[in-house]
Amino acid sequence: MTEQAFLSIIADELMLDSTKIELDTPYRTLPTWTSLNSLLVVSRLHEETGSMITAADLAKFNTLAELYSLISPK
Amino acid sequence: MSIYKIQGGTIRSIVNLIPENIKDNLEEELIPVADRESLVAHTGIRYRRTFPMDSVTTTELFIQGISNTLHTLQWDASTITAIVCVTQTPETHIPAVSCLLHNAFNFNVSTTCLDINLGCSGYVYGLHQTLGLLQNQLEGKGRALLCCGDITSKLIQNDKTSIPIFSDGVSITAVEFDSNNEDNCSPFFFNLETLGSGHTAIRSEFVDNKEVMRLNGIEVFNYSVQYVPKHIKELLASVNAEDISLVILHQANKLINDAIAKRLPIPNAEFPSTLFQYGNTASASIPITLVDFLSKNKPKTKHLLLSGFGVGFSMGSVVFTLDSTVHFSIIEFPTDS
Repeated sequence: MTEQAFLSIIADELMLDSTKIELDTPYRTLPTWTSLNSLLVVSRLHEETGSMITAADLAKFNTLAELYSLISPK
Repeated sequence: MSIYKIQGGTIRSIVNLIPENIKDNLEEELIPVADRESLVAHTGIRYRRTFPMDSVTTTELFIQGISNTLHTLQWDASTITAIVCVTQTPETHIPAVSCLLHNAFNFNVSTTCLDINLGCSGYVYGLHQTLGLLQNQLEGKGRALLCCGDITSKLIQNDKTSIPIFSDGVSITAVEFDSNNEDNCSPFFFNLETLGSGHTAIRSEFVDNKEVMRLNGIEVFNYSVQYVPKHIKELLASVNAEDISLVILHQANKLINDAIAKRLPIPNAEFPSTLFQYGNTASASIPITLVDFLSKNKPKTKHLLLSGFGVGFSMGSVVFTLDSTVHFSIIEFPTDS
Protein backbone atom coordinates (compact mmCIF):
# COMPACT_ATOMS: atom_id res chain seq x y z
CA MET A 1 0.00 0.00 0.00
CA THR A 2 1.37 3.40 -0.93
CA GLU A 3 1.69 6.21 1.59
CA GLN A 4 -0.94 8.13 -0.31
CA ALA A 5 -3.40 5.23 -0.20
CA PHE A 6 -2.74 4.82 3.53
CA LEU A 7 -3.39 8.50 4.24
CA SER A 8 -6.50 8.38 2.11
CA ILE A 9 -7.89 5.50 4.23
CA ILE A 10 -7.09 7.35 7.45
CA ALA A 11 -8.80 10.49 6.16
CA ASP A 12 -11.78 8.49 4.95
CA GLU A 13 -12.36 6.66 8.24
CA LEU A 14 -11.79 9.80 10.33
CA MET A 15 -13.94 11.95 8.02
CA LEU A 16 -11.10 14.43 7.45
CA ASP A 17 -9.72 16.25 4.43
CA SER A 18 -6.82 14.09 3.25
CA THR A 19 -4.77 17.19 2.40
CA LYS A 20 -4.83 18.13 6.10
CA ILE A 21 -3.03 15.04 7.38
CA GLU A 22 0.53 13.86 6.86
CA LEU A 23 2.58 10.87 7.91
CA ASP A 24 4.18 12.78 10.77
CA THR A 25 0.79 13.79 12.18
CA PRO A 26 0.30 12.50 15.76
CA TYR A 27 -2.95 10.58 15.37
CA ARG A 28 -4.22 11.25 18.88
CA THR A 29 -4.35 14.97 18.08
CA LEU A 30 -6.74 14.48 15.16
CA PRO A 31 -10.13 15.93 16.12
CA THR A 32 -12.11 12.82 15.14
CA TRP A 33 -9.73 10.24 16.68
CA THR A 34 -12.22 8.47 18.99
CA SER A 35 -12.29 4.89 20.24
CA LEU A 36 -14.88 3.97 17.61
CA ASN A 37 -13.00 5.69 14.78
CA SER A 38 -9.70 4.10 15.80
CA LEU A 39 -11.48 0.74 15.55
CA LEU A 40 -12.73 1.67 12.08
CA VAL A 41 -9.15 2.50 11.04
CA VAL A 42 -7.87 -0.84 12.37
CA SER A 43 -10.73 -2.71 10.70
CA ARG A 44 -10.25 -0.98 7.33
CA LEU A 45 -6.48 -1.48 7.32
CA HIS A 46 -6.98 -5.15 8.13
CA GLU A 47 -9.49 -5.39 5.29
CA GLU A 48 -7.13 -3.73 2.82
CA THR A 49 -3.81 -5.25 3.88
CA GLY A 50 -4.49 -8.26 6.12
CA SER A 51 -2.27 -6.68 8.81
CA MET A 52 -3.52 -6.33 12.37
CA ILE A 53 -2.75 -3.21 14.40
CA THR A 54 -3.25 -3.96 18.09
CA ALA A 55 -4.45 -1.77 20.94
CA ALA A 56 -0.92 -2.02 22.34
CA ASP A 57 0.49 -0.66 19.07
CA LEU A 58 -1.87 2.32 19.22
CA ALA A 59 -0.89 3.02 22.81
CA LYS A 60 2.84 2.67 22.08
CA PHE A 61 3.13 4.71 18.89
CA ASN A 62 2.48 8.35 18.19
CA THR A 63 2.49 9.21 14.49
CA LEU A 64 0.70 7.89 11.43
CA ALA A 65 4.12 7.01 9.98
CA GLU A 66 4.61 4.50 12.79
CA LEU A 67 1.26 2.88 12.02
CA TYR A 68 2.15 2.85 8.32
CA SER A 69 5.37 1.00 9.12
CA LEU A 70 3.29 -1.78 10.71
CA ILE A 71 1.26 -2.47 7.60
CA SER A 72 3.76 -1.79 4.81
CA PRO A 73 5.94 -4.66 3.58
CA LYS A 74 9.39 -4.70 5.17
CA MET B 1 -9.78 -27.90 17.67
CA SER B 2 -11.94 -29.65 20.23
CA ILE B 3 -14.84 -31.40 18.50
CA TYR B 4 -17.60 -33.17 20.47
CA LYS B 5 -20.58 -35.13 19.18
CA ILE B 6 -23.71 -35.63 21.27
CA GLN B 7 -26.72 -37.53 19.92
CA GLY B 8 -30.11 -38.20 21.48
CA GLY B 9 -31.05 -34.69 22.62
CA THR B 10 -33.71 -32.28 21.37
CA ILE B 11 -34.37 -28.62 22.14
CA ARG B 12 -38.03 -28.39 23.18
CA SER B 13 -38.38 -24.67 23.84
CA ILE B 14 -36.51 -21.38 23.98
CA VAL B 15 -38.01 -18.59 26.11
CA ASN B 16 -36.26 -15.20 26.08
CA LEU B 17 -36.86 -12.31 28.47
CA ILE B 18 -35.83 -8.76 27.61
CA PRO B 19 -36.55 -5.50 29.44
CA GLU B 20 -39.51 -3.48 28.25
CA ASN B 21 -37.37 -0.34 28.64
CA ILE B 22 -35.88 0.88 25.32
CA LYS B 23 -32.86 3.20 25.02
CA ASP B 24 -32.02 4.93 21.73
CA ASN B 25 -28.35 5.38 20.82
CA LEU B 26 -29.28 8.48 18.80
CA GLU B 27 -30.31 10.07 22.10
CA GLU B 28 -27.49 8.69 24.27
CA GLU B 29 -26.16 11.70 26.18
CA LEU B 30 -22.73 10.17 26.83
CA ILE B 31 -22.05 10.21 23.06
CA PRO B 32 -21.44 13.57 21.30
CA VAL B 33 -24.39 14.38 19.03
CA ALA B 34 -22.12 14.53 15.96
CA ASP B 35 -20.89 10.95 16.56
CA ARG B 36 -24.22 9.23 17.19
CA GLU B 37 -25.26 8.42 13.60
CA SER B 38 -21.80 7.08 12.78
CA LEU B 39 -21.89 4.93 15.91
CA VAL B 40 -25.25 3.43 14.94
CA ALA B 41 -24.09 2.85 11.34
CA HIS B 42 -20.89 1.07 12.31
CA THR B 43 -21.99 -0.88 15.36
CA GLY B 44 -25.38 -1.66 13.81
CA ILE B 45 -26.97 -0.90 17.19
CA ARG B 46 -29.78 1.66 17.36
CA TYR B 47 -31.87 0.48 20.31
CA ARG B 48 -30.90 -1.18 23.57
CA ARG B 49 -32.94 -2.88 26.29
CA THR B 50 -31.85 -2.20 29.85
CA PHE B 51 -33.23 -2.62 33.34
CA PRO B 52 -33.15 0.33 35.74
CA MET B 53 -30.33 -0.15 38.26
CA ASP B 54 -31.14 -2.72 40.97
CA SER B 55 -34.73 -3.17 39.77
CA VAL B 56 -34.45 -6.92 39.18
CA THR B 57 -31.89 -9.70 39.61
CA THR B 58 -30.64 -12.26 37.10
CA THR B 59 -32.09 -15.00 39.31
CA GLU B 60 -35.53 -13.37 39.29
CA LEU B 61 -35.43 -13.25 35.49
CA PHE B 62 -34.44 -16.92 35.33
CA ILE B 63 -37.32 -17.80 37.68
CA GLN B 64 -39.78 -15.99 35.43
CA GLY B 65 -38.37 -17.73 32.35
CA ILE B 66 -38.44 -21.18 33.97
CA SER B 67 -42.05 -20.69 35.11
CA ASN B 68 -43.02 -19.80 31.57
CA THR B 69 -41.09 -22.75 30.14
CA LEU B 70 -42.58 -25.34 32.52
CA HIS B 71 -46.06 -23.98 31.85
CA THR B 72 -45.63 -23.96 28.05
CA LEU B 73 -44.27 -27.51 27.91
CA GLN B 74 -46.58 -28.79 30.66
CA TRP B 75 -43.51 -30.14 32.44
CA ASP B 76 -43.72 -30.78 36.17
CA ALA B 77 -40.76 -29.48 38.19
CA SER B 78 -40.24 -33.00 39.54
CA THR B 79 -39.26 -34.19 36.04
CA ILE B 80 -36.22 -31.88 35.73
CA THR B 81 -32.91 -33.75 35.80
CA ALA B 82 -30.50 -30.81 35.59
CA ILE B 83 -30.23 -27.01 35.66
CA VAL B 84 -27.28 -25.27 34.04
CA CYS B 85 -26.85 -21.50 34.54
CA VAL B 86 -24.53 -19.36 32.45
CA THR B 87 -24.18 -15.82 33.77
CA GLN B 88 -21.54 -13.27 34.71
CA THR B 89 -23.97 -11.07 36.61
CA PRO B 90 -25.22 -13.15 39.54
CA GLU B 91 -26.45 -10.97 42.40
CA THR B 92 -23.93 -12.79 44.62
CA HIS B 93 -21.23 -15.29 43.74
CA ILE B 94 -22.12 -17.56 46.67
CA PRO B 95 -24.23 -19.64 46.39
CA ALA B 96 -24.50 -20.62 42.74
CA VAL B 97 -27.55 -19.24 40.90
CA SER B 98 -28.60 -22.76 39.89
CA CYS B 99 -28.93 -23.64 43.60
CA LEU B 100 -31.17 -20.58 44.15
CA LEU B 101 -33.33 -21.75 41.26
CA HIS B 102 -33.42 -25.24 42.73
CA ASN B 103 -34.83 -23.76 45.92
CA ALA B 104 -37.32 -21.50 44.12
CA PHE B 105 -38.93 -24.44 42.31
CA ASN B 106 -38.38 -27.04 45.01
CA PHE B 107 -36.72 -29.31 42.48
CA ASN B 108 -35.85 -32.88 43.49
CA VAL B 109 -32.69 -33.48 45.50
CA SER B 110 -31.59 -35.54 42.49
CA THR B 111 -31.69 -32.48 40.19
CA THR B 112 -28.11 -31.63 39.24
CA CYS B 113 -27.22 -27.92 39.49
CA LEU B 114 -24.27 -26.27 37.77
CA ASP B 115 -23.15 -22.67 37.15
CA ILE B 116 -20.80 -21.63 34.34
CA ASN B 117 -18.89 -18.33 34.35
CA LEU B 118 -18.78 -17.42 30.65
CA GLY B 119 -20.03 -14.50 28.59
CA CYS B 120 -20.66 -14.32 24.86
CA SER B 121 -19.63 -17.92 24.14
CA GLY B 122 -21.73 -19.17 27.06
CA TYR B 123 -24.86 -20.32 25.27
CA VAL B 124 -22.97 -22.91 23.23
CA TYR B 125 -20.93 -24.10 26.23
CA GLY B 126 -24.12 -24.28 28.29
CA LEU B 127 -25.88 -26.31 25.61
CA HIS B 128 -22.95 -28.71 25.50
CA GLN B 129 -22.94 -29.15 29.29
CA THR B 130 -26.72 -29.54 29.46
CA LEU B 131 -26.82 -32.23 26.78
CA GLY B 132 -23.71 -33.88 28.20
CA LEU B 133 -25.19 -34.17 31.72
CA LEU B 134 -28.27 -35.89 30.33
CA GLN B 135 -26.29 -38.14 28.01
CA ASN B 136 -23.93 -39.33 30.73
CA GLN B 137 -26.48 -40.24 33.37
CA LEU B 138 -27.13 -43.96 33.71
CA GLU B 139 -30.84 -43.71 32.99
CA GLY B 140 -30.03 -42.27 29.56
CA LYS B 141 -33.00 -39.93 29.44
CA GLY B 142 -34.24 -36.80 31.13
CA ARG B 143 -35.09 -33.13 30.93
CA ALA B 144 -32.89 -30.13 31.64
CA LEU B 145 -33.06 -26.35 31.68
CA LEU B 146 -30.28 -24.15 30.35
CA CYS B 147 -30.56 -20.63 31.82
CA CYS B 148 -28.24 -18.05 30.33
CA GLY B 149 -27.92 -14.29 30.16
CA ASP B 150 -26.88 -11.20 32.02
CA ILE B 151 -27.90 -7.80 33.34
CA THR B 152 -24.77 -6.30 31.81
CA SER B 153 -25.96 -2.72 32.32
CA LYS B 154 -25.06 -2.93 36.00
CA LEU B 155 -21.38 -3.43 35.07
CA ILE B 156 -21.06 -0.50 32.66
CA GLN B 157 -22.48 2.56 34.37
CA ASN B 158 -21.11 5.76 32.74
CA ASP B 159 -18.76 3.87 30.39
CA LYS B 160 -19.27 5.49 26.99
CA THR B 161 -17.40 2.67 25.20
CA SER B 162 -19.64 -0.09 26.50
CA ILE B 163 -22.99 1.61 27.09
CA PRO B 164 -23.95 1.98 23.40
CA ILE B 165 -23.20 -1.71 22.80
CA PHE B 166 -24.75 -3.77 25.59
CA SER B 167 -28.30 -4.73 26.49
CA ASP B 168 -29.78 -6.90 29.23
CA GLY B 169 -31.56 -10.18 28.54
CA VAL B 170 -31.84 -13.81 29.55
CA SER B 171 -32.92 -17.01 27.88
CA ILE B 172 -34.22 -20.38 29.07
CA THR B 173 -33.69 -23.38 26.78
CA ALA B 174 -35.48 -26.62 27.62
CA VAL B 175 -33.76 -29.78 26.46
CA GLU B 176 -34.99 -33.37 26.46
CA PHE B 177 -32.77 -36.41 26.02
CA ASP B 178 -33.53 -40.06 25.31
CA SER B 179 -30.67 -42.38 24.47
CA ASN B 180 -33.22 -44.94 23.21
CA ASN B 181 -34.29 -42.42 20.59
CA GLU B 182 -30.84 -41.64 19.21
CA ASP B 183 -31.71 -42.86 15.73
CA ASN B 184 -34.50 -40.28 15.46
CA CYS B 185 -32.38 -37.37 16.74
CA SER B 186 -29.78 -35.67 14.61
CA PRO B 187 -26.44 -35.14 16.34
CA PHE B 188 -25.08 -31.93 17.83
CA PHE B 189 -21.47 -31.26 16.75
CA PHE B 190 -19.56 -28.82 18.97
CA ASN B 191 -16.22 -27.07 18.76
CA LEU B 192 -15.21 -25.52 22.10
CA GLU B 193 -11.95 -23.55 22.20
CA THR B 194 -10.15 -20.86 24.21
CA LEU B 195 -7.37 -18.36 23.61
CA GLY B 196 -6.42 -17.27 27.12
CA SER B 197 -3.98 -14.72 25.68
CA GLY B 198 -7.07 -12.65 24.86
CA HIS B 199 -8.31 -12.46 28.45
CA THR B 200 -7.57 -8.72 28.62
CA ALA B 201 -9.92 -7.85 25.74
CA ILE B 202 -12.95 -7.91 28.06
CA ARG B 203 -12.41 -7.97 31.79
CA SER B 204 -13.80 -6.57 35.01
CA GLU B 205 -12.10 -4.60 37.75
CA PHE B 206 -13.17 -3.05 41.02
CA VAL B 207 -13.49 0.75 41.21
CA ASP B 208 -14.54 2.15 44.59
CA ASN B 209 -15.59 -1.39 45.63
CA LYS B 210 -17.86 -1.66 42.61
CA GLU B 211 -17.25 -4.15 39.80
CA VAL B 212 -17.08 -2.55 36.35
CA MET B 213 -16.52 -4.18 32.96
CA ARG B 214 -13.79 -2.90 30.64
CA LEU B 215 -14.03 -3.52 26.90
CA ASN B 216 -11.06 -3.07 24.57
CA GLY B 217 -12.85 -2.79 21.22
CA ILE B 218 -9.73 -3.18 19.09
CA GLU B 219 -8.56 -6.31 20.89
CA VAL B 220 -12.04 -7.86 20.66
CA PHE B 221 -12.12 -7.06 16.94
CA ASN B 222 -8.65 -8.46 16.31
CA TYR B 223 -9.28 -11.71 18.19
CA SER B 224 -12.72 -12.17 16.64
CA VAL B 225 -11.61 -11.64 13.06
CA GLN B 226 -8.33 -13.52 13.38
CA TYR B 227 -9.56 -16.63 15.19
CA VAL B 228 -13.35 -17.09 15.03
CA PRO B 229 -13.57 -17.88 11.27
CA LYS B 230 -10.83 -20.52 11.67
CA HIS B 231 -12.61 -21.94 14.73
CA ILE B 232 -15.89 -22.25 12.79
CA LYS B 233 -14.20 -23.72 9.72
CA GLU B 234 -12.74 -26.49 11.90
CA LEU B 235 -16.26 -27.46 12.91
CA LEU B 236 -17.54 -27.23 9.34
CA ALA B 237 -14.97 -29.87 8.38
CA SER B 238 -17.06 -32.33 10.43
CA VAL B 239 -20.37 -31.52 8.75
CA ASN B 240 -21.75 -30.64 5.32
CA ALA B 241 -21.60 -26.83 5.20
CA GLU B 242 -23.91 -26.67 2.20
CA ASP B 243 -26.79 -28.05 4.31
CA ILE B 244 -26.59 -25.16 6.78
CA SER B 245 -29.28 -22.61 6.03
CA LEU B 246 -28.99 -20.43 9.11
CA VAL B 247 -25.94 -19.08 10.96
CA ILE B 248 -26.56 -17.30 14.24
CA LEU B 249 -23.45 -15.46 15.38
CA HIS B 250 -23.16 -13.91 18.82
CA GLN B 251 -24.33 -10.34 18.28
CA ALA B 252 -21.09 -8.49 19.07
CA ASN B 253 -21.36 -5.51 16.73
CA LYS B 254 -21.84 -5.03 12.99
CA LEU B 255 -18.14 -4.49 12.23
CA ILE B 256 -17.12 -7.77 13.84
CA ASN B 257 -20.07 -9.85 12.64
CA ASP B 258 -19.75 -8.68 9.04
CA ALA B 259 -16.01 -9.39 9.06
CA ILE B 260 -16.56 -12.94 10.39
CA ALA B 261 -19.48 -13.71 8.03
CA LYS B 262 -17.44 -12.61 5.03
CA ARG B 263 -14.77 -15.18 5.88
CA LEU B 264 -17.07 -18.22 6.21
CA PRO B 265 -17.57 -20.69 3.36
CA ILE B 266 -21.29 -21.26 3.95
CA PRO B 267 -22.79 -20.22 0.61
CA ASN B 268 -26.45 -21.00 1.22
CA ALA B 269 -26.88 -19.58 4.70
CA GLU B 270 -28.61 -16.53 6.06
CA PHE B 271 -26.90 -14.55 8.85
CA PRO B 272 -29.73 -12.81 10.73
CA SER B 273 -28.96 -9.92 13.06
CA THR B 274 -30.85 -8.37 15.95
CA LEU B 275 -28.19 -5.76 16.71
CA PHE B 276 -30.36 -2.88 15.50
CA GLN B 277 -33.26 -3.55 17.87
CA TYR B 278 -31.65 -5.40 20.79
CA GLY B 279 -27.89 -4.62 20.83
CA ASN B 280 -25.41 -7.07 22.36
CA THR B 281 -27.17 -9.19 24.99
CA ALA B 282 -24.03 -11.23 25.85
CA SER B 283 -24.73 -14.97 26.23
CA ALA B 284 -28.45 -14.50 25.48
CA SER B 285 -27.80 -12.92 22.07
CA ILE B 286 -27.75 -16.24 20.19
CA PRO B 287 -31.11 -17.60 21.45
CA ILE B 288 -32.71 -14.15 21.16
CA THR B 289 -31.58 -13.80 17.55
CA LEU B 290 -32.58 -17.37 16.70
CA VAL B 291 -36.08 -16.90 18.11
CA ASP B 292 -36.49 -13.46 16.55
CA PHE B 293 -35.64 -14.96 13.15
CA LEU B 294 -37.86 -18.04 13.52
CA SER B 295 -40.82 -15.92 14.64
CA LYS B 296 -40.65 -13.89 11.41
CA ASN B 297 -39.18 -16.27 8.82
CA LYS B 298 -39.20 -19.84 7.68
CA PRO B 299 -35.63 -21.05 7.07
CA LYS B 300 -34.98 -23.27 4.04
CA THR B 301 -33.85 -26.03 6.41
CA LYS B 302 -33.53 -26.12 10.18
CA HIS B 303 -29.89 -27.14 9.94
CA LEU B 304 -28.19 -24.45 12.02
CA LEU B 305 -24.80 -23.19 13.08
CA LEU B 306 -24.59 -21.19 16.30
CA SER B 307 -21.33 -19.47 17.25
CA GLY B 308 -20.48 -17.53 20.40
CA PHE B 309 -17.19 -15.75 21.06
CA GLY B 310 -15.88 -13.16 23.50
CA VAL B 311 -14.89 -12.86 27.16
CA GLY B 312 -11.94 -15.11 27.83
CA PHE B 313 -11.18 -15.17 24.85
CA SER B 314 -13.60 -18.08 24.61
CA MET B 315 -15.16 -19.54 21.45
CA GLY B 316 -17.94 -22.12 21.12
CA SER B 317 -19.81 -23.26 18.02
CA VAL B 318 -22.39 -25.95 17.37
CA VAL B 319 -24.08 -27.42 14.30
CA PHE B 320 -27.38 -29.27 14.70
CA THR B 321 -30.90 -29.63 13.29
CA LEU B 322 -33.61 -27.80 15.20
CA ASP B 323 -36.67 -29.93 15.92
CA SER B 324 -39.71 -28.59 14.06
CA THR B 325 -41.92 -28.73 17.16
CA VAL B 326 -39.79 -26.33 19.22
CA HIS B 327 -41.71 -23.64 21.16
CA PHE B 328 -40.18 -20.18 21.23
CA SER B 329 -40.99 -16.72 22.51
CA ILE B 330 -39.54 -13.32 23.37
CA ILE B 331 -41.22 -11.82 26.44
CA GLU B 332 -40.88 -8.17 27.39
CA PHE B 333 -40.26 -7.95 31.13
CA PRO B 334 -41.91 -4.89 32.73
CA THR B 335 -39.59 -2.13 33.92
CA ASP B 336 -40.34 0.93 36.04
CA SER B 337 -38.68 3.51 33.77
